[in-house]
Amino acid sequence: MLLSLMIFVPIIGAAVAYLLGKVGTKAVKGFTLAVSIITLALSLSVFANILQSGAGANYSFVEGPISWIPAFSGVDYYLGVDGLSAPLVLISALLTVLVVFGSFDLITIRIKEYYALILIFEGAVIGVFSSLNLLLFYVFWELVLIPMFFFIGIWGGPRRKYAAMKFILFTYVGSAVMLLGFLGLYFFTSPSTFNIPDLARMALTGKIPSWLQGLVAIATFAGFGVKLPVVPFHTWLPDAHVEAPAPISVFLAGLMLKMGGYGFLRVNLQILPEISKQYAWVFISFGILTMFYGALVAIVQKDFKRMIALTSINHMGFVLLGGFTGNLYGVSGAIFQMFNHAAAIGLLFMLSGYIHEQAGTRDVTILRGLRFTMPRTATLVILAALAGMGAPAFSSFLSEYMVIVGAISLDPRYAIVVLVPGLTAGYFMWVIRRTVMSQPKEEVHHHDMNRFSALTLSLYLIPLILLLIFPSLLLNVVDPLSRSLIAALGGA
Amino acid sequence: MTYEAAQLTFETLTPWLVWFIPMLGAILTPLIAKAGDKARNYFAVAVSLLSALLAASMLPAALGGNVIHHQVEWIPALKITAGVLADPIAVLMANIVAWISFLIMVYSIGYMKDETSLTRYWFFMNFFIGNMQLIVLSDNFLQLFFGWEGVGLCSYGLIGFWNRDEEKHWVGTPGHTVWGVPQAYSPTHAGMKAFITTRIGDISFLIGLLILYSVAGTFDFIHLAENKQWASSLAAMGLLIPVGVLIFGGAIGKSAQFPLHEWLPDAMAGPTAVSALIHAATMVKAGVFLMARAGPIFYSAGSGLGVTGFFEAIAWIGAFTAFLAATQAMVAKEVKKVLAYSTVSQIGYMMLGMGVAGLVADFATGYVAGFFHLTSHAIFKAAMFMGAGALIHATETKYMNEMGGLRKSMRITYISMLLAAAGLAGVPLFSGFWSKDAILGATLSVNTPSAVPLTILASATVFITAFYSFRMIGMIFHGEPSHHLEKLEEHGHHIHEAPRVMWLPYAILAVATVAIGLTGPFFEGALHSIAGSSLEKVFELHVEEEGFKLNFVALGISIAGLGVGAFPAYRYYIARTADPSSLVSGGFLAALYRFLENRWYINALYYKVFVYPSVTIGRGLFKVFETGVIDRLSGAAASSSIAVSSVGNWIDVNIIDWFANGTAAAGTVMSRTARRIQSGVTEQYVFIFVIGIIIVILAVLALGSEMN
Repeated sequence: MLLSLMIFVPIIGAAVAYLLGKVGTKAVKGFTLAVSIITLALSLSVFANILQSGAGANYSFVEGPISWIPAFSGVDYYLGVDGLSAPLVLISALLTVLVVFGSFDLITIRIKEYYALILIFEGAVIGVFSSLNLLLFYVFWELVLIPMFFFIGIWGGPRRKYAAMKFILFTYVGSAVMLLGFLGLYFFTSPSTFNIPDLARMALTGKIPSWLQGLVAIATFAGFGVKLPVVPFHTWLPDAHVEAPAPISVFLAGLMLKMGGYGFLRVNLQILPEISKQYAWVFISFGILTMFYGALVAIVQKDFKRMIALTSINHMGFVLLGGFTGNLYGVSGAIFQMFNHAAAIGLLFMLSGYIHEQAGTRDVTILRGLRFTMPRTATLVILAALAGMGAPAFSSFLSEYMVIVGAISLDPRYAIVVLVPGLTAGYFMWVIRRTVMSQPKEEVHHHDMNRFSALTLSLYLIPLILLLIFPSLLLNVVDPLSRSLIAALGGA
Repeated sequence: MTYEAAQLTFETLTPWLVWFIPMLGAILTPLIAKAGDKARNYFAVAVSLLSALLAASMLPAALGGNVIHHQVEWIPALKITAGVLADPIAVLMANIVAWISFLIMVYSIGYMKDETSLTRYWFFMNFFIGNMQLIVLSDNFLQLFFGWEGVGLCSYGLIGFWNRDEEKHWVGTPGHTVWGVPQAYSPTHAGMKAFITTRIGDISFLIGLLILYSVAGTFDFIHLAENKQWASSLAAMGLLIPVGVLIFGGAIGKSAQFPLHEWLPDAMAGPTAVSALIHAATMVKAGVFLMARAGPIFYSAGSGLGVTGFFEAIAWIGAFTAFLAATQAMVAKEVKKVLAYSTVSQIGYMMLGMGVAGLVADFATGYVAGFFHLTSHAIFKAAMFMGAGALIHATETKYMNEMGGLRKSMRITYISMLLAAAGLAGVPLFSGFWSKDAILGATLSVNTPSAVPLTILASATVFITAFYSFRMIGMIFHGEPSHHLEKLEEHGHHIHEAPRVMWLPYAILAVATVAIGLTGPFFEGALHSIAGSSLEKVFELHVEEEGFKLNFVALGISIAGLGVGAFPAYRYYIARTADPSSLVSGGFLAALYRFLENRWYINALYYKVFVYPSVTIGRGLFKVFETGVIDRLSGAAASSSIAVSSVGNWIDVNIIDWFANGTAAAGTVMSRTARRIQSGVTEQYVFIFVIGIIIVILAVLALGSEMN
């Protein structure tokens, strides 16, 4: 019941929030905040329960399977969370609260529609992460696109229409092809089913032939690869980010990209283990390409936000790399990385929004002396950059290097990817030196963010510090799952 | 295992607090600052004193040879623990760091009196102390790496402390260029240079570390020393020496050894107190300390697997760096630059000691020698830097040729600097004499063909060190006051001694140099038993039961070197019976002078090969692609707004988007694309694209099911 509540309370709440628009914008904001906090509380209790019971390897809070379309067997309403999805559900709920906070200042038009869409988005994302039926998964997957399309198209920057169109085309094509893969699985397995646990069991017993696994892997690569995004399917992302308002970028990078990572781990590793093992090198190569490409292209960006968008691409490459190493460091590291990335990149995007708001530009060649003009923002920029570059000050350090250790365990030559955090640190330091530490131009006078904003933005850092000191809070949930995934892959 | 797996008691808590308290103090500094500047300054100093007292409280146990080891769970899923390892050698190091830091913090009150942004200064200083102690007291490589990066960050922040980049804070001679490369740098440039150069070392360190972990499954020093299986696994992969050298790469960067040494001289752009603390006494020793941890592990685990190659590498890098940097100190003009080159050179000695440890019969010989020199150097070099800071304040110049004749007006500084310089030069009965002698002695007993060249490099450095030490003393304190000083007097600026809060710290360290010197053999014996118990109890290495032994060949070399080096320095700079400028007016010596002054051309070469080309290439790409190709292709200026400056972006915009938008013709223009989307052209392509994929997949499915 808990999972359904977490999906449908926000979705139904969206309608209420929209109607509250008549009462006033304060009511809309307050209500949305309340719903998101309730959802966060629920997700925390789910997470804490799994942490306490140590049952990360199995599905908890299972609902169903309840027959959904009775004419077809295996099309069920079926929910549950395990060590892979529980952290993602938690970060979804957490980021929603933070996004609501962050939107108070930055979103000024069409308030009721905006907050209603936020809640729809939250419900749909949690639905994606907790669906145990591929068709249900697909429905939520597509449902996520709709609010995002409007977020970019309505509240976006000057080129929002182009960005929204490009976004929807890319992701839509990707998910259409992905659906084909799911259909293939359904029709060529017997008994036909969309239920993930059943499919995973069939995969274990060799009932899903390798040719089918191969085809499905190609099809889902389109869906997950576009979302993650894997280079070269990434070009929608920088455009979408540049146009999207800052809180929406948090959703985009923090949650939507995770759907791609989640898909790779859930579907490829669990249902397509043979291909995932045999052709791991293909996925790993794409992962490494994505990491390097994201880091290299980020270096020459002038737009701070575009730079962060590309950093985000490089971070997600870690997820792909780690997931397909097929060992404990890699897989646990990939899941850990998704969680950390959501918090770190979310903060960076929010800061880019505040900088744009106050300074009127995000161009790093123009911005000067933020340390003097916007001290609160500047402090947060430095801290967030440390998290973004994988410096050993936040938990993103642990996850990035877990993934790298995983890769090195496969082959020491993969040690080359250590250069990626090195590059990332280099360009972040460069940007900070130019924009934060430099002298302000005499005439410039910006307002800094207010105390409340600084406080809410600091909240992003709390999980990052907490998990640096106590990584077991997350890893004890993730670890049993990783072990069972690896066992299913036939690894050590 | 001979250590006691301890519960959390006061004894086991202390090592945690030693590094945690300064970090906490750093974070609290901005809050305390609200109570006023004085409160903030004294708070910062008090924090460092507290940490030092805690460090001192660990001494009795350590001197008794006890090892305190305490671990807590950190990442249980990966069997990674966090812990503190307070073995005798770490406790000794922690005390060196803590007490020198404390003295420098006291000195800072005077030295930084007229500066603004001091909250930032105190924050970084205490944060630095905490991270340095974290390096020293960690019981595993991963935790050590946290401190390692932390001190790097503080170093970066403090080199660029004067981030307004005023001319007076630049380092190097303005206008001096080599091959067109300017040799004077602003503080922020120097900070960035330090950051990037050490980062190269850090990446090497990390790669080595991660490979080690992926094979050994642990970062823990004790586990690595106990279960030696990993060494043979690595050796079988041909990676044992590479991994060792990669880890050593971190030490090369942090300790400014060749070929990553060029950042340290320019790091002198930071406040002098920072130079004393971070870039002389402590942080740059972190590399040596890393080798003090990694060396024994590799030695014991890799014996019989050809691990001597690793130690050969350390010894050679150390010896060569000692020589390279010392030669440059001979011609440096700025007092801080002399000290910086000297630091690089002396750390080279320590590395030599750590290297020869693995090349002689008894590991402890070189190990103790290296550590002894680390101790004595930390003390006399901190004293010299603080003295230099007092001189720079008093004379308003950093150039030695603008000082001169200061021995009367700044008597305490003169005596302190002289004593410390005697330690540096290795005058008998001063600390550096014994420690350098120990390193030379160990090098002489190396049992590989490297023994002779290593000894020659080390001996040559003895003589050069003596020369530049006394040259510096002579130029600053002897002879007549310079023109610059006379002018200051005319303007009513009288040169006077530094305030007590400044001179007391370096006077104390100068006295310590003498004290260690007078008790040299005894001190070395004690150090031998301290280090010996660390090696035996933690790393399970056998140590011969002998403490101090005087090597007469080494003694002869160092006294001869001292005489040969000190004599010309005395003649030209102290007695001033001859004019040094006549030496370099022409011929070979002039060419040599230029070569040394231009830093062996290494600095310029790095700029020419690494720094400038990347900028040029970046600009070239920008010009060719953005203005040449993209603008022309698009034909519309408006559409170029999204084109950005690199190949990557060019590909992004022109190729990948082109694919993405279906099979639209090459040279697609973004603005037109948008129009196409609206006019429905793109939808058609997408539709065809999707249908195509569907057909292909269905076809393969059909075929596949038949095969089934």
